[in-house]
Amino acid sequence: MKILENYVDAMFRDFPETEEMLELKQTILESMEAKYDDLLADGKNEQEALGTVIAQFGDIEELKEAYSIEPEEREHSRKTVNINASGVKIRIDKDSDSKKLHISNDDDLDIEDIIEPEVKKKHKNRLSDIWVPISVAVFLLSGFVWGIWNPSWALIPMTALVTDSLYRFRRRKSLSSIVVPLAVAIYLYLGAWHGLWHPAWVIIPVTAIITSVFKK
Amino acid sequence: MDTISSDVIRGYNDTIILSLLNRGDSYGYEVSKRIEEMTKGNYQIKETTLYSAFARLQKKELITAYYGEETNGRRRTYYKITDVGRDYYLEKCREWALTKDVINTFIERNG
Repeated sequence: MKILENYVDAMFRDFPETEEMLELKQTILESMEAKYDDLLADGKNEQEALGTVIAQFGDIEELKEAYSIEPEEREHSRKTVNINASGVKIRIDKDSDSKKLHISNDDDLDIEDIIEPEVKKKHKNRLSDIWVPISVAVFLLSGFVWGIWNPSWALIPMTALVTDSLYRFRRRKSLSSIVVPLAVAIYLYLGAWHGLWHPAWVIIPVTAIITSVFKK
Repeated sequence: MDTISSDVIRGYNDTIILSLLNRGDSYGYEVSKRIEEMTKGNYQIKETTLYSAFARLQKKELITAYYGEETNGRRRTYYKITDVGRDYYLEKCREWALTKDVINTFIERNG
């Protein structure tokens, strides 16, 4: 019977397809079909019989345990970063299963047991993931096709800075979120209108340094 | 009361199955049907409970499995109790007699 077959198939989905397991599955299916036929013979209607048979199937975990079938192994990875600053050693573990960071000190004591960062969200919102490769592509294109290597290289650090500051602006308003785009605007203005590409580029690294100092 | 809950009877499924196999070799569906008939429908063993018990009992060498004659193009797996299985069963019978006494001590007094 197709419904029972599908049901049993679904239940056995995690079982290895060894001869022993296929045999077991087939035996259980036949047992259920026999029960179903008996119930019909007893005067039950098809729905009642089907409901009873499925209710009497039980819990597949019981069988998994009896046959020592491990729950499906999930890909597990652990990334560890060790930081050693002024003699204080800190270890940060990122666990792929929990999507949580575990921060511990040298003695393996958890300082803050679990910090739940917006690891996933953070990644999604990273504008730089899209825009940095685009600016690299534009840079290479303008260099190879039009021979304009010189000012266009500035696109890359600029894109990185702008996207990063926009990203930070979304999370919490910070100094760099206003200052960096402003600096870029000034740089573009001085370069394009006054031809001062050369000394004006200094504004970008200077801004970056200043904002990173203020961030603390 | 409809049927007995699997939680209550859990520790005794192996004993029930051994008791039936002690009367003669049998196969899955027959064991399940016998349990239902003998308890007048008060206990219906689940498929997963029954077949995990068979697996467990085989691992402990309390029963063995063999293929019966082919019917409708399918050979059926029969189970047979071993000598170790019989000893284990008798021990479980004694244990149950004691368990029943202990529980009754409390149930009868309050019931």
